[in-house]
Amino acid sequence: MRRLLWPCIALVAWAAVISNPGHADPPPGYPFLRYDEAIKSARQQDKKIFVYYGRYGCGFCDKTNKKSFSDPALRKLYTEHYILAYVDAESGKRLVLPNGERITEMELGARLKAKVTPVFIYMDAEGKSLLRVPGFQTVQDFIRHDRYIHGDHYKNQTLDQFLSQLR
Amino acid sequence: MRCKYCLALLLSLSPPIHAAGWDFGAKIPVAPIAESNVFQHLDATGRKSMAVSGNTLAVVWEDNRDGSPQAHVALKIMDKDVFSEARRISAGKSAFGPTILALRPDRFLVGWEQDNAVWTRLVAPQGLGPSLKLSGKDATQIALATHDGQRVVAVWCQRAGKFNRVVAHELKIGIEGGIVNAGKPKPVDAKPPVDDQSSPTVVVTKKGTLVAWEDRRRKHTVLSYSHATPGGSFSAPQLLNEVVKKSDRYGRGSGVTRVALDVYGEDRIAATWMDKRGDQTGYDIYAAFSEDGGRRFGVNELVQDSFADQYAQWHPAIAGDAAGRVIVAWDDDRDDVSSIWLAWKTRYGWSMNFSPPVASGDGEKTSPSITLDARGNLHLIWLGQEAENGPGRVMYSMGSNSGAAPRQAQPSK
Repeated sequence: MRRLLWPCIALVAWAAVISNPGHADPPPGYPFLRYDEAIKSARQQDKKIFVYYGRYGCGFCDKTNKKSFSDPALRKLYTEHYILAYVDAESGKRLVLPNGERITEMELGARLKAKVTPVFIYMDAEGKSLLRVPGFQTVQDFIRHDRYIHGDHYKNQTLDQFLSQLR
Repeated sequence: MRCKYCLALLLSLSPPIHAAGWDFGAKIPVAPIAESNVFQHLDATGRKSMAVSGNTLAVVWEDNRDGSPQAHVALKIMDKDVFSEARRISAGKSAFGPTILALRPDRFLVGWEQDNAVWTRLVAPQGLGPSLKLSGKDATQIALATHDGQRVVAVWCQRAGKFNRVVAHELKIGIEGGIVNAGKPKPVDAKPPVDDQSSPTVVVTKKGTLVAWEDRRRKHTVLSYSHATPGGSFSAPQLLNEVVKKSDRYGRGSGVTRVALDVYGEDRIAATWMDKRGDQTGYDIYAAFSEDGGRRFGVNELVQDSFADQYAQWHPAIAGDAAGRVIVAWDDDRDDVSSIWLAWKTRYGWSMNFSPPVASGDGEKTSPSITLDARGNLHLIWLGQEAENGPGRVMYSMGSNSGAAPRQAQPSK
């Protein structure tokens, strides 16, 4: 029986590598939608939107996926509080903006003046940006940002003011 | 102290590459439209949205004036200051990414994506030819090129199973003006795709056909190119961009996208693209040159000047001409608002960047497309915001060479 154990473990590990090759896409287990689908859904459900602006092969996207988005509590929190949207920085896929204009995902990045990946943007249901945080974020960062946005503190405080009160 | 004098002497002897190389005329709206819910786009793959043939200039773009996104064309006689009324070239439910190619004389071939297939038709001042569907379903991002005006190579992305694959297809333009399919579309890379290929662009010289595209087979985007001699098969894909070594900072690759090509001199080829190896400051504009018709490219060169270091660059376009000039255009917001910027290759490297006054200042100016005519004039179109926060409108201006630059391009060794 023990002789079969290691081949089985190796097979499972190999399958995991094949199914998740490690390039930066939306993290597994999250219901990420296209940007325009997310706005439509957010309007219907009166929810805020969490936009993950990533790039295929981006190192810090991969790191964020593995170190932060793998946290089950974070997954539950963000899935409950937000409509999730993923935008591929180099994609030519088209989407429809709230004003009816059709542009590519890459063009959305140009309009957002996004310099780096990842960029995480919290938006209201109309697509208005409420908070924008670039680069790798820890689980704690994401939890604090959620408290700031989901608690509506952004309406009368900057993020820095809000965070200084937490300390 | 002595160094200071040496520097002053060197600067005084330097060629005037800092000087504005172009005098641009007034801006002309290509397709004026007042409604704020009509959106115009210049998004041809390879940014070939304008062409000059004989005494006629033609511009293609997409807008939704008819209620759905459709491709349009407008023509201008060279010495006139107004464009013809916009003519719709597409039909169907929606159309995107129109591109245009100059044929001879005063004749053009346009390509576009319509309802998930790619189409083409001839355009002349006298009217439009019949539309020809080039692909089956699930095709997108068409680009066109010719060397002699009679044999045209069209490339596009065709869905092949799970992935998009770049295919090339030969067309023949009849003397009477008809378009004839020659053979069937063939994959540029003979190996089945293992990830997406996209945004193809193409040039044709007497030495053959060069296709460049975005390729994700390495689990990050690289720019690949492949060359075919006349009548021959395409070579195995080679890398156009220098791939930055894998790291936490760059991931599997630093990010490259939207390659554009043009021919300069007799049969040399210049390429430009957006490249994120600068990491924290967004995409930069890079270029590379081939002196053998596209079999090999030289080293990658940074196009933009150091004043652009802290800003992201977008939408690179390129134009070359028979005299050997090469010019690159893009947009960036180093002046707080997006403006159009130009750089040209000189004997001493890339020029300082120049923003034509007509395409800078108040309001966003983005998405340039450029072409050089036989007289050395630079034709520029872009999307310019005419109203605050309003949608972009296609604008045109012509630049005359004021003598300072550009000179014949010399690749870096």
